[in-house]
Amino acid sequence: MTLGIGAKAPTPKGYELLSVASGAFGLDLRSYLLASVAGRGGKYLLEAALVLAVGKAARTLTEVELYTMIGVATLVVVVATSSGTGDPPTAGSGSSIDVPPVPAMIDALDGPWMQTRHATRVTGQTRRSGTVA
Amino acid sequence: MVPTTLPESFDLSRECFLSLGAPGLFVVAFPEFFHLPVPPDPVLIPLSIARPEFALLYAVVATAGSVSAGVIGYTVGRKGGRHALESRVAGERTARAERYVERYGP
Repeated sequence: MTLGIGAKAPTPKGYELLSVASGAFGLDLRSYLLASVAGRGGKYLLEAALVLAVGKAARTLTEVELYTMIGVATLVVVVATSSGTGDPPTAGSGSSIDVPPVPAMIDALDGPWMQTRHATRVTGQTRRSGTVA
Repeated sequence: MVPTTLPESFDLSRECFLSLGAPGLFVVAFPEFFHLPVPPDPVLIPLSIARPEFALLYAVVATAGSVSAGVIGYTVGRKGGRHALESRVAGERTARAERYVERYGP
């Protein structure tokens, strides 16, 4: 999820969703802040760096040209960052959410019905072992 | 009539924030989270062009304003849980975020 915030943070709507979702789904504050600073700060630093790189030429560019350049550069960095995180390769892109989740994650995050099934299974084993003994 | 008045008000707001310098950038970056019509980028870029020596400082100020607002969103999610998330975004996106957490953990 931290990767998701870092990748989605440059877009305001994505950042809003992931900020509220981070709180709702229990991401710890430190990870959230680190990912936010990397995502939002990366975008603004990229803009500032581009303005510095373009230098005086930026004064002669129209706003549309400047923002197009910045938009393309931001997109390239975001795509490169989100697809270059190793395994899983598309962790931040949000395009691979249909892959079945890790069973351990389901156990950790699932609702009461899963806990009930666990409890029943454990109780059954206890009963069987009790009968054998 | 609407297409001419919207850019005028946008430019007026932007000029206002521009005239305030770095504090204005913080002020405009903070409510971007709540979808203020003027994003910080059209303020950050002209400021950086005008004072290139402060460009990185402007980037830091914009980040600080934006992340500060994000912490409010985080707190809303923390206090309100899934209900707070559903009240702000469509159910389909909430489900997508939930599947994401299920897959990669919090």
